[in-house]
Amino acid sequence: MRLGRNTKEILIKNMFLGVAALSILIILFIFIFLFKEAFPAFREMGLSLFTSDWSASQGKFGINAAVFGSVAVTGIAMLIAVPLGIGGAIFLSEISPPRLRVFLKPVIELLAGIPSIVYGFIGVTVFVPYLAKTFDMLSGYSLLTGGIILGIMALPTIVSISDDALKAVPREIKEASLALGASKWETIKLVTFPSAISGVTAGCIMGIGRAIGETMAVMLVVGSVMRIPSPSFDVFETGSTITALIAGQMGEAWGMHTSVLFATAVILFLIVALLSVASDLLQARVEKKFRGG
Amino acid sequence: MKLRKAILTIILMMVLVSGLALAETKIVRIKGSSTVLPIAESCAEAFMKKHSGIRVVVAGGGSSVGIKAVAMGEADIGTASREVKKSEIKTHKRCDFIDHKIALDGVAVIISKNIYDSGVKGLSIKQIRGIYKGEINNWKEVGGLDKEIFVNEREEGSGTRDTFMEAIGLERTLADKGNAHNSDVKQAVAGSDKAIGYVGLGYTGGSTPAISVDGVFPSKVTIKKGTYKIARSLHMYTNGRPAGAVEGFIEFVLGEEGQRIVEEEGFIRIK
Repeated sequence: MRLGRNTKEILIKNMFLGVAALSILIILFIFIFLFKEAFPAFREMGLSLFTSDWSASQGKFGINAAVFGSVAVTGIAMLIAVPLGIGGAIFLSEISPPRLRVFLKPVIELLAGIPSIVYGFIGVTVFVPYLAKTFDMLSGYSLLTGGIILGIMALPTIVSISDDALKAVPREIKEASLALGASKWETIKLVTFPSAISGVTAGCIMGIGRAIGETMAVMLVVGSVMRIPSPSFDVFETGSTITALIAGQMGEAWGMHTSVLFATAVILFLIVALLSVASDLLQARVEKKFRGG
Repeated sequence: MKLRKAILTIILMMVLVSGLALAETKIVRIKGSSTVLPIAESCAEAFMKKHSGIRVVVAGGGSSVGIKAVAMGEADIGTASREVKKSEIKTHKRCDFIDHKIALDGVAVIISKNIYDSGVKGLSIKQIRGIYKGEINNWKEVGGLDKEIFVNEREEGSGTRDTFMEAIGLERTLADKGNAHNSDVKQAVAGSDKAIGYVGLGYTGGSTPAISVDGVFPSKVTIKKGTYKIARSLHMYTNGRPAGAVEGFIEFVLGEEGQRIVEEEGFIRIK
């Protein structure tokens, strides 16, 4: 039997629709599953989840220390990755000679392809002893160490997306600025960068998303203790993150303990989803701005 | 049409073959403690060599996972590095937990090499409790160098942690670092010049020397005698009296060959 041209067309179209729908369905199922498993924790623990007292063996499940740790390491990571990443992107898109760029961009993007366990391994064997010695810390395992590793890991995301945003600024605008007598730096500072700001922001938010969801590397160096350092800005102390908590304790958790870990996963999921949507909206704005959409 | 026929034939053959395979081999499913995992795996291998009709499938996941698995019927044998808890018996009322003790294991306290060399060869239970409670913060308080103590523990849920905490009489600690595995503790202690931690007996020595506790050095002899206090037994749980292949496997583990494997894996035989 030979299919008509039209039938074939419709068939293929529906097939792709099906594939697209499947990926949405998978996300939906993950979300439903997470919520189902986390529900007992939300119901039983309620707001007591958001306290700072964690002792699973005594049935105390305050997850504040993990949330604090996640925010702290991500904050440190951004302090490192945002300036470096934006600087790198400006160099790549505006200053670097094309031949160097062709070489540099893939190399930077390759950073994103290094498995996180490798970053973690380097963290444990290089950063931990180095930081312990340099800052005379108790052990070198700390929120700071986690933040530094995450900062390096978030770099390629920020560089790559910011570079795309800067490249998307139309040449005419830059040329007009240069024609008016502005120097190259003034053009970057006052014309190119402000035009690309939403794209750059999108890149930074993606970087935050990557940092906050990262598990393996951070778990190896952060220390995994469910305690907020005192004073809380003492990032030289050990701590934990949401991801390190889940990965470290899921294997042997049981009952309410498991459910609480799922609840923290729901919180993480919501944070990352929000960040991802925000980043997408900003990137859409960049396209609209320059493509006259 | 040809293709369709070929596919149909293949599917039919697969169904037939798998049906035959299922009918012939019996499967014993084991799940649980990561401490018991090496024993279970080696025993399974040796057991399958002797009994070609039985397939033993071994999975990890942790003591709690093992107990839950046997209670829910997901596994024939649940392994655990601790005894089944009252709360677990209560939750799984329908499960008739039968305990098979298969080996003994000691939890050794290890410290950094240079602290050991500086003269700390042993601690009392009280001193260890003080260190983990955060009341003793410097090695000089227990006869060592003037260095702050870097306190390592295992993460919550670990059977090694439960054994240790019960032996020193603590419910919670003020440790500086939580570790997911024995090897992580060893690495953290080896990489530091002021650390303390606790691990299974097989992980001591070299750059992480074990110390005596209350004057007793952890060894096979002292653990078996019961004089070394931080010790535990390793368990296999079944739902009701085991029968058939499951019974055969547990008998194998408790028999001469199985107990030899227990020793080879660095644990202490029960018989």
